Amino acid sequence: MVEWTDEERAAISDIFSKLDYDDIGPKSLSRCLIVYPWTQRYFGGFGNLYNAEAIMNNPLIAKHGTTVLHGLDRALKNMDDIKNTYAELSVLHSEKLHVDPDNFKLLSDCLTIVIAGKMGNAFTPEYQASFQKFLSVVVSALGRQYH
Amino acid sequence: MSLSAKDKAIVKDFFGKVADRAEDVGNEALSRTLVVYPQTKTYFSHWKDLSFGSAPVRKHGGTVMGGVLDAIEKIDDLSAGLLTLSELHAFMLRVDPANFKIFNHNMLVTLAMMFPDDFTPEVHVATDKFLAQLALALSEKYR
Repeated sequence: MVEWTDEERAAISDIFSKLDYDDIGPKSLSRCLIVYPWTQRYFGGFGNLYNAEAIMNNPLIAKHGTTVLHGLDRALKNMDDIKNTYAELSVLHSEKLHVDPDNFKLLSDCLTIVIAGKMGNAFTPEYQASFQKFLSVVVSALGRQYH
Repeated sequence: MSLSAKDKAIVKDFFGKVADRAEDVGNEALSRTLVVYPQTKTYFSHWKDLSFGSAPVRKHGGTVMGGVLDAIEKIDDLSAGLLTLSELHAFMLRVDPANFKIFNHNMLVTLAMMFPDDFTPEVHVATDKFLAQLALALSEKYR
């Protein structure tokens, strides 16, 4: 089981409380598709991904970005058992969506960078450490049911 | 994933804006590396103070950023341009190359924080590519 200090819990809650899901979600996903273009392979049915501008203005991508961020909410609310909370989602990403689990790390990195851009100095090194730890637990849980 | 002409232009333009605050960026990036990835502290056991923004950290962060800015001048042939630095890292410092990725990540976080309006997705991808090429050139002489 993952051990969380009080400071880590506080940092993670604080970061999420300041998040505008409808802003950060779309920004993170579209950044991921631009910075790591091979991730576009999973979004064949999402319309125009032809260039950065198209991706950033794509409403289906935006909607999906928000969906993903709300998915993180589940981990936030179940921090002491993220592994089991995400069991179903892991099966979904493996069996149905066939997403290479490497991609979870890429999206995590983009999310970290977007939040850093939004929070500025409030995103202290300690906050960054806590948040990256949280994301690495999520990524691990999402990859767990792959076989 | 080599650098296109467009990538090089974007990197030169963006880092032109960053240059004035190079020491701040280097300090922030190195400080974060030491805090968020504690295993990196093993390379600095000879410093008394490894806390955020301490004198040795700030100085060294500035040195590293100076190296990054210098590499931009040599962006058309990074392997040749960084030969001496690569030899330094390979034979003397012997920094595990995995740490270049770690430092690069923290540089991207720092750039996003300090230049939120300029660090667009396009600048992000060009910078990420450049830093990856830089790390590769730095690893050139390792074996």
